[in-house]
Amino acid sequence: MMNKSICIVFNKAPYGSQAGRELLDIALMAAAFDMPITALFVEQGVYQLLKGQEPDILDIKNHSATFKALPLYGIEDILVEEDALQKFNLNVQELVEIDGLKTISSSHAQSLLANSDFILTL
Amino acid sequence: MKSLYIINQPQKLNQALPFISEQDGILLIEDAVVVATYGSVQANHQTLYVLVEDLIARGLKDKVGVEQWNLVDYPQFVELTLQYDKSVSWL
Repeated sequence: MMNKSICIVFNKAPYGSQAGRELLDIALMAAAFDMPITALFVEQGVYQLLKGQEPDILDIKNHSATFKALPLYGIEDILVEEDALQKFNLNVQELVEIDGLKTISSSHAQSLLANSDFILTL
Repeated sequence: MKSLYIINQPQKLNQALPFISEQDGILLIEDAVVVATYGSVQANHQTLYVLVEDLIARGLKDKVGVEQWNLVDYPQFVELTLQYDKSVSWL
């Protein structure tokens, strides 16, 4: 039987909630079960990947570097919404370097979501 | 695949819309039901539902623009989750 695909959608900036960190944990855990996983960063979720985060000042652990581990866990589809980068005046060079990270359009994201077996936001 | 997008905060509807396909359904629950009372939503062909219990609780049931919104109660909510291939809570 084919494993069901999961699309994990990061749509919130850090560190107002633990959503980013928890979704990341879920992604790594699901990868251990060989489920096909896509990590999708949309809207303010693109801020999860911004370089230079120093949440230690708020006594919060910095999880942004852990995103680099995604490919090591076999998660190769790491997609960032182009429109969100533009809207927030960011470019890919300002994001943590993750192997295979790609930008996609909102309409591409829409069809990706339509074709995923499960979609998860937090 | 047809998805049922469940939205529970008013500001989340517009954020989610670009990612929702034409064949999908959108169900407003909890605080998001207020959206059904202030005019039209820029939906493109998605079927729109709003949970009637949450409208009644807020005194908003008579303020819904009926032509665009389908009122559903909890049992119908359950039916909808079966009717669509998957449910997505867009938090």
